[in-house]
Formats: sequence, C-alpha cells, structure tokens
Amino acid sequence: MHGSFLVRNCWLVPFFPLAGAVAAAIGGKRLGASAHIPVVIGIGLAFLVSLGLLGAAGADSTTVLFDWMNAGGLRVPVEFRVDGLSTMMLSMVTFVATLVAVFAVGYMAGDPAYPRFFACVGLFVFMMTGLVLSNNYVLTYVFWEGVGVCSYLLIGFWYAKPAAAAAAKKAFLVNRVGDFGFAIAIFWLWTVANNHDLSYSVVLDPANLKLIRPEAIFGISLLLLWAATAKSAQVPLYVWLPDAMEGPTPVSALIHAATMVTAGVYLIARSMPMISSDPRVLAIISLVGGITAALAAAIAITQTDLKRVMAYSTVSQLGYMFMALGAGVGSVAQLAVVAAMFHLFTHAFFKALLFLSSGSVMHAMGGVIDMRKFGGLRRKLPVTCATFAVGGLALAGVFPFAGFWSKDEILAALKLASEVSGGAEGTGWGWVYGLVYWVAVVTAGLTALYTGRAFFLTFFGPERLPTAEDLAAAGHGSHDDAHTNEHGHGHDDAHGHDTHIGHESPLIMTFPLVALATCAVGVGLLFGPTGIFEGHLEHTLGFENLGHAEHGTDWNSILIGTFAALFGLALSYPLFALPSRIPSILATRLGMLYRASLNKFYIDEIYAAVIVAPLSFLAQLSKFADVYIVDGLVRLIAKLPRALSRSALAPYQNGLIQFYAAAGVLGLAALLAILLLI
Amino acid sequence: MATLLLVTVLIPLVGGIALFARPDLDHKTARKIALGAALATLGCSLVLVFGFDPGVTTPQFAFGPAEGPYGLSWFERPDIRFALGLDGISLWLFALTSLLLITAIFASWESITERSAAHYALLLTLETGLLGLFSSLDIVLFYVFFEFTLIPLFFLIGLFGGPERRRASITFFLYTLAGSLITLLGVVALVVVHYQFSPKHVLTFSMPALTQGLQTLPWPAWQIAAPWSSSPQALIFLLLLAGFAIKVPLFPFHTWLPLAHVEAPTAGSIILAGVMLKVGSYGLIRFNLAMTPIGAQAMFPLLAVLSVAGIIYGALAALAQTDVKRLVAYSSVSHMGFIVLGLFAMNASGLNGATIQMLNHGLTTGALFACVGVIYERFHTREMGELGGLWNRLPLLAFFLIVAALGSAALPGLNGFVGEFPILSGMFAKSPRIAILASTGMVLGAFYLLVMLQRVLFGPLRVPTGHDHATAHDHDEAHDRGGDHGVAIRPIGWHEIAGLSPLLVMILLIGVLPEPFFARIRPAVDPVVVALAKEGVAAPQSIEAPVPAALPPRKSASRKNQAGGATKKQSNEPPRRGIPMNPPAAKKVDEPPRRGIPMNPPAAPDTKKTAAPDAKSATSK
Repeated sequence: MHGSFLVRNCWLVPFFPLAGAVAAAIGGKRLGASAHIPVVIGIGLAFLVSLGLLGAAGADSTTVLFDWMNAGGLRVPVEFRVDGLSTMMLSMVTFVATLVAVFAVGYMAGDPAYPRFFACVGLFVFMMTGLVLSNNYVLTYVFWEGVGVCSYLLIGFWYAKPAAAAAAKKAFLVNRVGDFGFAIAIFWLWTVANNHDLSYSVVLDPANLKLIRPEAIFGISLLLLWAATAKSAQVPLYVWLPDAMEGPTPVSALIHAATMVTAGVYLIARSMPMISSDPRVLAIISLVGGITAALAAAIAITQTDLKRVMAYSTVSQLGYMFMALGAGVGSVAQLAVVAAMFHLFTHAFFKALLFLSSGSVMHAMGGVIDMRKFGGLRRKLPVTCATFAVGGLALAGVFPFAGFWSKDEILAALKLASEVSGGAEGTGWGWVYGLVYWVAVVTAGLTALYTGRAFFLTFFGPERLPTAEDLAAAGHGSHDDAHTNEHGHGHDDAHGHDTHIGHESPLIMTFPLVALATCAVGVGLLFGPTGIFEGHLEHTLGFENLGHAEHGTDWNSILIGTFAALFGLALSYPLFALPSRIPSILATRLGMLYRASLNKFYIDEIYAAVIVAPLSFLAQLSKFADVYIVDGLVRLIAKLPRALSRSALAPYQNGLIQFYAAAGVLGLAALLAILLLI
Repeated sequence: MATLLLVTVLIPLVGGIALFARPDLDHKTARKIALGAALATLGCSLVLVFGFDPGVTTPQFAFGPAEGPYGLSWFERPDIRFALGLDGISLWLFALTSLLLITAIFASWESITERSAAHYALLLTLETGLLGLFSSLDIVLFYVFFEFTLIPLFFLIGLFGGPERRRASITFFLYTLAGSLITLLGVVALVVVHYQFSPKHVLTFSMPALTQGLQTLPWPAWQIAAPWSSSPQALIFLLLLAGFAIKVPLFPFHTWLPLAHVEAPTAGSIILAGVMLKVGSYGLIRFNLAMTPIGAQAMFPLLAVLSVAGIIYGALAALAQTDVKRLVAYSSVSHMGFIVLGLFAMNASGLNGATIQMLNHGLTTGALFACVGVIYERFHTREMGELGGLWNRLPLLAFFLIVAALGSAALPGLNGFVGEFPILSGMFAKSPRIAILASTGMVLGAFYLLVMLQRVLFGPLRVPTGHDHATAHDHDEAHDRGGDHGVAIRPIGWHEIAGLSPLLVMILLIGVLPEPFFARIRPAVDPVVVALAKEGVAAPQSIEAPVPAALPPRKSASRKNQAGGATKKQSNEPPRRGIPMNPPAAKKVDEPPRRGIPMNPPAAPDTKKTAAPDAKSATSK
C-alpha cells in the first residue's frame, strides 16, 4: 500500500534535506548562485513525503532502522515514529521550511557564503525532522542538540559581525544549560525505565509508567521542563532568542519562530502521558508559560527593532503554548495538549509570515530594521504591507484568522483547568489556572497592542526611508567585512540593497509571503472548528489515555479574548498610526516602567552579574590556584628531598671518623634494643 | 596475523633507527622517510583493525594458542614473554596511535627544519613504544614500554620545544617517573600476590592470566573491601594508581601537563595529549579495575571526587586561559576526568563509554592541537587577544577547528557524545550526585570551546602585525591574496589538510556510526564489568571465621614456614619475630589495622619470595 510504504520509509523525510545539504556543501563552489537548488528540492521532497505520511497517519507505527549505539547498558536504536503528533509537526516544519527556503533564494542572493547558508538550512531541516520523528529520548536529544548547533551556525552566519558571534555563542550556551537538564532527565529515566529502554513506546506505556516512582516522575518531568525552557525560550532561559535575531531573517523565521523553538513544546507534549500524572508539574508549566507570555509581551511593546518585537512576540506566544500544556489536568488533558499543539501549528504560519514580511521590509530598507528610521511604507511595499497585516491580525487573535481559533482554545482549556482542579475534589492548584487565565487575557490585549504598534509604525504615518548614515550603520558596515574579505572581490552589498531601496521585493520573495498569508487566514478555520486537527492528534502515542471529556463551547472566553484583541488593536491605531504625542507623554509619565521595558527588565544584566561574573571569577581563581597552589605544592614536595638532605643529612657527613664510629655503635645498640624489647 | 602485529610495532622503530643513523639528512628527505614508515604502520594497523574478530574475547594476533601462553619466550625463568596481542580495549588505542602519528608528522612538515632527522626518529621511536605498550600482553613488557615512551618524548620536548623546554621536559620526566616507580611496586605486588596465593603457585607475568587468576584468588583477605586500609587490593590499587593518575593526569597531579604542552612542539603535543594520556587511563582499566576490582570499589569515593574535581576545575581553568594551547591543555584535564569517571562508574555503560572516549579524546584533542599548530605557524602567537576573525582567511581551518571543538564539546553526531553520554549515564546509575556535578562540565566545556572559537574565528580579522609577511614569503605555497589590512596569510597547505582530514573523518564516523566501535569494545570490557560487579567483603572481622577453611592450601603455609616461619602468624599468637622482613598480607586479617600497612608488605616479601620459589621449583624439577 502506498501509505504504509511511506510509513516504512519515513526516514526519507530527514534524508532528502540532508542529501540536499551535503550536495550544497560539497558542490558549493561549483554551484555558486544556484547552490539553493538541491536544498530547496530536498526540503520540497521532504514536504511531499510528509504530506503522504499525514494521509497515512493513524498507523501509529515505529520503524527501527539500525542500532545506533550500544554501550553496554545504554542501547540507542535509530527508530522513527509516525503518529498524529509527528506527522502534524513534520508537515508543518517541511511546509514552512520550503517556503522560507524559497524566500531565502531572493533574500540571500549575492551573499558570498550563499552555499554555506543553504547547506546549514538543509542540515537544520534534517535535524528538525529527525527530532520530530524520533521514537527515543536519546535520539531526540541527539537531534535536539543538532538543531541547536545549526542554530549556532546560522545565527553566527555573518561571523565577522561581533554581535552575531556573541549572539551565536549565547544561544548555544543557554541551550547547553537546558540540555544539561535534558541529559540528567535521560540519565534518570534510563535508570528507572523498564529494561533500560528509552523508546517512547516503552517509557510512555501506561503499564511501565506505573512502575516508576512518583518522585522520579516529578523530577524527570521538571528536568524535561527545564530543557524545554531553553529550547522554547521560556523564563528563565529565554534570553538567547531575542539576540538570535542577529542571524539572517529567513533563519529567524524558520528556526527562531516557526520550528526549532517549538521543540520544547513538542517534547512536553510528547511526554504528556508521563507528565500529566503530576499536577504539581502541570501547574509549574502553566505558571512558567504565564510569566513568560506576560513578561515578553511587556518587553515587546517598547522595542524599536522590528525583528526584536517579533522575537519577543515569539517568546510570548510560546508562553501561551506552555500555559496550555500546563492546563492538562484530569479530564482537560487532551483538550489542553490539542490547544497547545494547535497554537503551535497556527503560530508557525503566521509568525513565519510576520518574520518574512519583516525580512522583506529589511530587504527593501537596505538592512535597516529600526522602526524609528522608516515609516509609511504601505505604498512602497503593498504586498508586504498586506501580508504583514494578515499575519498581525492572526497574531492578535482576531476572528476568523488562525490565531483566533488557537488562542481561544487555550483560554478555554485554562478556564476548564481552573474549574477541574479548583473544586473540592481538585488538586488545589485551581488558583494557578485562574491566575494564568487572566494573564493570558491581558497578554492577548498587549499582543494586539504591540502588533498594531509594529504595523502602524512601519506602514502608516508619513513616508520615511532610511538615510544614508542609517544604511551605512546598519546592513553594510556589519556585513561587508565578512563578504569582501571572504572572496576578495567586492560584494559590498549582500542583498543588493542599493539598487532597490524602497521597492517591493521580487516575486520569489513575495510568493512565499502570499502563500503563508493564505495559511494564516485559512488554517485556523479549516482545522480548528471542524475538529480535523483534534481528530488527527488523537492518533498519538499515549494520547488516547489522556483524560478527555465533552466540553461545550466557551462563549465567555471567546468574547473576552476577542474583546482584548480588538481593544489592543483599537488602542494602537490612534497611538501609533496617527501623529500623536501620547506615546512619548506616556513614556515620560511612566518613566521607570518604560525604561525597564525598553531595557528588557535588565534580565541580561542581572544574569551577567549573577552567573557570568562569578563564573569568570572562579575561572580566574582556578587559573591562579593552579599555578601557585596546586603546582606550588608539587614544587614544594619536589624540593623536599633536596632540602632534607641539605639541612638534616648533610651535617652528618662531617668527615670525622670518630663520629662515624660512635654513630655506628649507637645505631647497633639501638637496633639490638628494639629487637630484644619488642 | 601475529607476525603482522609484531611487524607493525617494529616498523616505526626501524624507521627511527634509520633516521638516527643519518642525522645529517635534510628535512625534506627525513620527513619523507618518516611519513613512509608511519604510513606503512598505519596500513598494517588498518589491516589489523579490519581483521579483528569482534566475537573473540581473548587477545587476538598473539603468538601461541588462544588460551595462552601467548608470545615468544623472552626469559626462560621467570617466564617473561615477548607477548603482543590486541583486544577490544587496546585495539582502538593502537589504531589511534598509528593515525595520530601521521598528523604529528604532517604538523611538523614545515615547522621542523633543523635536526629534523632526529625529530622524526624520536617520533617514530615513540610510536613503537606506544604501539608496544598497548599491545603488550606481558606485564614486564608493558612496563618496559611504559617507561620507554618517556625517553623519546623527553627529548622531543627538551630539544624541539619552546623557550622553557628544559624545565618542561625535566618536570615532565621526573614527575611521571616518580609515579611510574610506585606503579612498578604495585605491578610487582600483583605478580607476587598471584604467585603466593593462586592454587598452583604460578609465577606468571601474562596480563590475561594475572587478570584471570587474581579474580579467583583463594585468599580471603583479597576480598576485603573495607576498611580500605586493611584491604590488600586497595593498597595495591593505590600503588598502581600513582603512576597512572599522573599520566592521565588526574587532578591534582596534572600540573606538569599545561607546562609540557605549551613548551612541546606541535607533534609532541599531539602525541602527548592524544596518546600518552591514554596510557594512564589504559593502565587504570587494565590494572586498577581488572586486577584489583575490589580495591577500585573501596576507592570509588576518592576517584569519583578527584575526577569530578578535575572536570570542573580543568574546565574553569581552561575558561580563564588566553593562550589557545594552554586552553586545550586544560581541556584535556577536564576531559580525561570524564574518562576516569566513566571507568569508575564500574558498570557496562560507563566502561564502554570511557573506552571509546579514550579514542575520541585522542582524535579531537589531536585535531585541536594540530589546528593550534596551524595558527602558530602563521602568526607566531597563540594569544587569543592578538587573533580574531581567522575564518575570513582560513575557512578550512575554521571548519576543522569548529568540528574538532564541537566534537570535543560532546555534540551528538560527533564523536565526543558517544563517549560522554554513556559515561555520564553510567555514573548516574552509580551515583546521581557525582553525575550531576560532572554534567556541569558538559556546559562549561561548551563554554570555553565556544569562547575560543568566538575569539579566534569570529569577528573582524585581527592578526599580529609583522610576523606574517616573513613567514608568508618563506614558503612556496604562500601567495598574496590581497584584501584589507594588507596582510598576507599563507592559506592552509596540503600537508595540513592531509594531517587533519583523517581525524575529521574519524570524528564524524564515530559520531554517526559508533556501533562498529562499540561492538569490538564490549566483549573486552564485559569481563571487567563482571569483575567489578563482585561485592567485596565489608570488614575483616567477618572474614575471620572462614579463614582456616578458605585459606590457601596447607602447602603454601608449610612453604612459608620454611621460608620465614610465617605460619605462626596465622595462629592466634601475635606476630613476634620476623616483623621487619616479611609480614605476609594474611596477617592483616588477624591483626586489626593498627600498624596500618606500610607501603611494602605486599612488595617486600616479593623480592624474597621470587628467589625462594625459584629454588623450590628448581628442586621440584
């Protein structure tokens, strides 16, 4: 059968992008400006296979390819799982990746390291699809770090730019801190898992889960959450994501908005059969999500860099997904996971769209992305303006755009969770969900506000283009160092900005925008209320055992959510679209708050002072301790024999025969005494 | 195949002798001869690797029958044999040595122009020493090779090193020698204990036979685990440890390492970090774990703490370094801590991981040092403050350096991961706290390596002025590429690519397909795991009852009686006479650990006994 053939050969999905990446890497020099062809084809093929798998889903099958490693007790096979969750993720990842890759063909044109870019993108898609398909915690970890390293290479793509280099390092390290938790979780799971088998199908089997002590489940779940907070940019480990915007914009769209950052959400959703048994962990997950969503939205509202607004928005939206996952108590469990994954799904489309639209703006503005430097672009960039508007409406959660449906589901899940766990027979965590519910509502308003702000500042108001100094300061100065040096001949202008400043992007870039915009309008309506999404996701390992009950439509939440969104948008129009002095007045009135938000609540500075500084102090301490204390001791010991002989033994070698004789006799006497007396 | 193994070990020696014989050869001829010898060795080792049968647990490629005795007779009496053979533990280190030598030779290709014949001769002799060491099946042969390797490396550092080479080489030599001598005591103690207490009183120097025999030694005291001060295994363990801990090097015995590395020539660093350090961990698994497993259990807390301390401390110290080579040297301290940690997880996962990690660390550190050599040759500095943005001009170097660094940082898909992950999971099963502490080393490891990458490769191009022009025009490959700063940087040469790419291929291969490597390691590690799984007896008191029954056969007692009247000590009568000479270890069972155990009791009687039994066996013959 066609379907089962694809299921058995699901390895094709990661394989095609990898093959494309290898071809681009090896043939890079020869292919030159057409280095994107193998990668785009590879990702496209992967998308087609994913679509086939999506049709064949429900099969819920695992395919073991080979034993990857077997270190005595730790055995890791390469095994892939095709079920509702993985096929949904696969189709989404490969679809967005295809469009982003096509967009990048236009965006990256002329960059001297063009082949390297596409090789890395292909490698990333390989890793990401592998992560999604994996049926084993260790294998997931492998791809988990793999996407991390691709992210590192792509953030640092313009390596000559110090900010990019620092951001790449920061992203990798913060993720490593998260991976530390993931690794410990795996070690722990490995020691308690049935037969030391870390396959999802074994670990998440209800019968096996019962064998694990509740404390172990609690600890492992928290560690998995820790890992997820790094990859999915949640409090406290979200700090790397905003900086990651130093990478090329298609990378931001693909990796740092639509796909990689959702890996944490995916991991929690995948482990839901295990995690949902502990209400404490669920409450913590919800709380983390709530704090993150609110904090990031509060920061996004004052940022002046368009991409950074989007980055904080991503952090905030990921927070929504965590809120929803955490709401998976009792009979709400299934609804909660579906809500989270649905938001992940819709978010991927509209956020990729928003990033690519920002990229299109940046492209047209010669690499300038500061919203204070341009404005009123709606006439110059009509397509971009329209697609950005669609994305913005979806993000704000306005009916009937995609975001509306998923955000509404999340609100409904939170409401139910607070009801279920708040009652007399509840877990006592009801107040958390009640609180998080209102946080979610307020954040929805904030989301609409900052989205409106970004949109109106960019596309409305008097038409302004960046000045020559701006251009010199932004794109060029930072990029050309890498470029001119690399091949010696001057591609001074990576994107060919100079020739078409303030013009709409070429078709190869606007086409993906339009495609994504169509999705941002349609996917919510198509999959949400129809129940297709939910039905598809039910065919996921262990999900049938998650609590589920019939829930009516929660009209209250729909109304409240919609009101918050419309209120935010309505507020943003007079504030930012029309010439108005209110924002600046507000900024001065709320001086402290404004500055705190503008400076991202000084979280980076706090981390630098609390973590980085003590660490460097310890490092310096070790460096000097090594030279002066540890090695000093060794040298001291090495000096002992000589010192001993000089001070203690040398005086006896005095050359007096009488002394030697006396000493000899005395020694003999002493020996005799010892022998006789003891 | 047995002949092939012997030939493989001897080829470099022949090459080395040939080069010693013609010290006046110019460097172009010398390096060709050296490369030829090293390539021949590598070819032979590859044949051995592919001919290695993963299903066989006994040493392979040895002369003699599969169950021993192996090798060619060397001394008639005692029966010391020239026995070479490989098993899953030594196979990869053997292959690693022959591979890294190629890198070492290519790394010296342009940089060593004076006395180059001597340089290559020393390298090749060192290779023979190391190959012989890893393939030795005889404990005496092992020790001979073990000490022999010091000599060429001493001269390599002392003659071809940096400005402080003399101090470095002497420190290195004395420090390691001091440790080795204590290890010698331990080795002798093992042989004698086995001779004295094995049922048939076999005086064997064969490592497989000793391992086997010591595990089933019918000597109750041998099974005591705690308190360690009354356990002969623990004491011998400590004796053995002295030399190996310095070689590894285990914190706090590591201070010779940064000095030696900074002063050593690139080739010396590659071999030193890539292979010499593995001698320590190899010794640990071969002797400390396989031969004194109960001692290892007793000493677990000490070793675990020292390795974790080394992991974190080494990583922190690496983080503070500004000299790239020093940074890599300290990273070795940290990473070797992981290997020791895996060994002392004492379970299959940890041991397998540690064994493959020995290979991995050799590859990544070898590659890192080779990259540092490439940088140093061009800019004559290793200070990260003076370098930056090298990616721009040396993209291939950037590629090699990034892969090697990420491999070293245990990124999945590269080789470090398949070692470190099993090590840590094995340790987690043994002691979660230690494993969690050690895992922070994973984060710190990424930290210092990424800082290094960021400073050296990323950012705008920055090179020290003045040096480059001179070197650039020295060499024929150099051609001015123009560009800003007016700096001409010699692009990476073919020999540098040839030296680094095999390592890179291996780093990737092990990362992606580790199973063929594990499949050969597992059968060799399994017996060690079984030995370590055996529980030691907790206290000497509990063993006192079965003493008479389980004591070595009367014969031995009576023989001892002849030798020095030792039987009395087994009765309740407190030991009166003969204390100074031979308090056999059995005494410790009766006597509470009052006197403690001076360093020599197991060793002191040995010298005595080896003479006596000889006489006895002569009479029996």
